[in-house]
Amino acid sequence: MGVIHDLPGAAEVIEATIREARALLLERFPQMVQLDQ
Amino acid sequence: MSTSRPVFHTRLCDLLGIDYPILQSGMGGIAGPDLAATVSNAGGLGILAGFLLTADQLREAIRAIRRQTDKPFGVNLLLPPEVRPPMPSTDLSDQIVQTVQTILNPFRAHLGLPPKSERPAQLPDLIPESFQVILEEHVPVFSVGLGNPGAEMVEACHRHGMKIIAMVTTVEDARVVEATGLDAVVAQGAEAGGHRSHFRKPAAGEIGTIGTMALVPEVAEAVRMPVIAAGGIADGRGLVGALALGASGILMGTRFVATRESMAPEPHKKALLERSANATTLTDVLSGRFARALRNAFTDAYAHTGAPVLPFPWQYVNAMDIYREATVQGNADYLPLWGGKAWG
Repeated sequence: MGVIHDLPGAAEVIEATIREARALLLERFPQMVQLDQ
Repeated sequence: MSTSRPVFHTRLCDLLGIDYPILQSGMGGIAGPDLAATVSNAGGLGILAGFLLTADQLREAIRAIRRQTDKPFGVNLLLPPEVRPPMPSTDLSDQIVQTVQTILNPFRAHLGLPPKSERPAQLPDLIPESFQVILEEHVPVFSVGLGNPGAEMVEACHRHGMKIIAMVTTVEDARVVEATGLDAVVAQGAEAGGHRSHFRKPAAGEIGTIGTMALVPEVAEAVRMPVIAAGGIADGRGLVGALALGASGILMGTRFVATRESMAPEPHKKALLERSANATTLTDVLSGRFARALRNAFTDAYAHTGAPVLPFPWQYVNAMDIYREATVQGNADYLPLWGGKAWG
């Protein structure tokens, strides 16, 4: 079996997780975010 | 109204010295120096799998991480009672050894391996020297699975300026590790891939399984130390959900298996990318302890026999010839395909 070439790097997993979480709070729970600030 | 973005800096970040409350599980055979260092460099906590490495291998792996990062990282050891110290292999029942080899020999035949009838060789008592290496190398975070490290290890870590965390599956065990003096606890829900972090092996895999959504708030209410949620978490939604449940961070394993830096065999990565949502099983046939993995020919055929397994980690060590050859041949049917219910 050959190497899979389109795998993400582990750093991309961290960055994507934080990006998704931020987007989720900002887009779905904007009031919660405002309160938090 | 402020336009600043929400920041996910929790008390776990302060405790461990990390930017983001994301830990990467120290998965055996998967989490090597490259993966751990990359995660730490990205602001999370990378954790090296140290179980079953010799002292020299472990020291070299730790130094390989340090060559790639100056950020905090962890080393994980599994500390079940079965390996403190390992029981003599001569204590394994002849009948069970023969039964297990009879089941495994057709797998060996599929891979062109010779049959085996002998009992596995004696396991060395690696834990004391592994722990000594971890202390000598001043590893920032010592991570423990499958057992309570005990007060002596906790005190030694703290004397060396290290943090120590453990993974549990119940509120009762979370209270035990807090009373032992650990710094944080990982609450592992039933969705998690890899070994269930029971202190003692239950009679059946489903006994004591609590889902992450039920376990995390219960643990967070029961202990004062930071709680790290694990199991079924693979993206930002999981992070937000875990924080809402009372956790101070998350630990992800399966999400990191199919990454460039993971040491997982290519068939394992491919199987994760191609699998269906209902593909996992909770089984003890791969290692002797209950663990969640993708179903394959090995798990299905062994389970179908209803036969017993050797105690952990003998079952795993005894099948290493199969796992190694399956890796060489790129054959996912006979590999331990550790994986949880979410993979991102």
